[in-house]
Parts: sequence; C-alpha cells; structure tokens
Amino acid sequence: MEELHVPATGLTPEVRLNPVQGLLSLRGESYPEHVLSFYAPILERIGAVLEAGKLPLLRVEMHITYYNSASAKAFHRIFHMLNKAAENGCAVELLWHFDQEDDMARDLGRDIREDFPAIRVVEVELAAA
Amino acid sequence: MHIDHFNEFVAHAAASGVVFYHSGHLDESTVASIGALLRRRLHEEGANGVQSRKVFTTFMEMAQNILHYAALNGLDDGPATKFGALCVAHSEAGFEVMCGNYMSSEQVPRVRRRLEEVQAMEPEQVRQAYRRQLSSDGEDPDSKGAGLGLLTMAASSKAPIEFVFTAASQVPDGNTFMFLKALI
Repeated sequence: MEELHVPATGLTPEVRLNPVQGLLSLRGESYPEHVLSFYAPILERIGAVLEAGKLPLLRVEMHITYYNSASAKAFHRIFHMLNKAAENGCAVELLWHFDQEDDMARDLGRDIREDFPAIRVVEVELAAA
Repeated sequence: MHIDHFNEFVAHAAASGVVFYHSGHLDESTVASIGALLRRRLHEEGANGVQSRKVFTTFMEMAQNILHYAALNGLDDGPATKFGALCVAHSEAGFEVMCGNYMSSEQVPRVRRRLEEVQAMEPEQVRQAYRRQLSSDGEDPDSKGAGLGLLTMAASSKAPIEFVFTAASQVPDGNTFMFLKALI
C-alpha cells in the first residue's frame, strides 16, 4: 500500500502514513471548519492499513501545536482505532508532543494513556514557543 | 454615519480596550484570516504565551460556533453565510473574548440550560465533562461539536462564561441575539 501524504494548510496539519515503515504522523495546526470532511478519508486509510497490514508495529507522532475541539474528537477516533489494533497484536507507540504552557494538551495526553491502555503513550513536553 | 460619530465610536473602542472587533458575515476563510490577524494583535498587546493561546482557542471556538449554529441572518437574500460579532478587549481583568449571533428563539431554553449547567461547574468538573464528551459516540444532531466548544471556552476562561440573550425588537422574527463572554 502506498504512502499517504497530505500537505499542511493554514487550517490543517501535514499527515503522513507510511505502512512500510510503520509510521503515522500528524504535524501542524488543526482547526478546519468541517473537521470530518478532512479527517474521514484519513481515518479510512488508517483503518485500511491496520486491517490489511498485519503491522508488527506502528509509531505515531502527534505534533499538533493548536487544535480546535472538533479536531480533538477526530483524534479520539484515531486513538480508538489504534487501541483496537494494539489489542490485536500491533505494537502501537504514540509520541504525544505538547507545548509546556498548554494545559489542555498536557491533560489530553494523560487521558489518552488512561483511556487507551493498549497504546504505549510517550509524552514529549516542548519548551514554550 | 456622521464623521463625528465615527470619531466617538473609535474613541469609545479605544477606551474600552478593544483589541479586535468584527461584525458581519463569516465564512471559513474569513475566520482563518481574522484568526491570523488576532494573533498578531495579541503579540502587539504583549499577551504572554498562555494568554495568547487561550484567547485564540476561545476566539476560534466562538467563531466556529457561529459558523455551525448561528441562524442565518434572515435580513437579506444574500449568500448563505452566517452573521456574527466577535470582539477581544484588553482590560485590567485580562483579555475579554466575546461573541454574538442570531439564533432561533425556540433553541433559547435548551441553550440557556446548558450554559447555566456549565456556569455552575468547578474547573475540574469542566475538565471531566470535556473528557466525557470527547469519548461519547452519540452524535446529537443539534449539537455538532457535542458541546465540546462551550466546554473548551469554559476551560480557558478564568471566570464562568457570561451570557445574555436579547430578543430585541430589531431582531428578525423568531430569532434571538445571543452574546457570550469569556475572560482570559
């Protein structure tokens, strides 16, 4: 399966999904008005890779410097899929990057760890911009 | 508008610490542009990193609330964009982030109840409610963001979210104008 690469826009993050390397990354800012129309195709591709791939491991890099509440909901759906894959034997490691001044992103990282116990969550605190 | 009235309008805005004000039709590209402008203005106002992030977060949730929920203006037959007012002011208390938009008067009791519920929450309760909303799968068709937007505003604000409904005579039939205010 080919690599998915969606370039960043002012409102949406850069998304990469490489099934060969076992890498998923989201990088940038995320506040599109129609969150689902942006994330639905990405969720679909992730789902296809997880189902088809028999991936031994998946490294997920979340490096989102700003996100709106609807994007947080989309992230939650991604984590839900990843947690299922992890329960089925794929070693999922999530690198959750957050700005040290961003309490909500810090809390969200902790919540992900509690809500999705099959995912290995690594919190990466970044110095304030 | 008489030029002297414009003079008074500008002086009044300055005296009220207005950093940013927009009133008119909104669409996604307008919101993105004014968001970028607001970031520059906050930098000029000397907002620190935390304040700037929270003001921007609150502002964007308010703007996207208008795009998603506001009743169409109803005053003309123009394109189906949403009408709303957005304001950021800087006072001794902090940064005040406010929005106003038309909504259907039928929705007022439901929205008022929800606002009162969130107003009464302690910060930790807001956080837990946010967490519950995030993991709930139920898609309430009346609430596209599942109330997450309001909870995000409440989590960013250091005072309970203030609200006012004005069913003034100048508001089109069946609509009410709603204002919200957060303090960062």
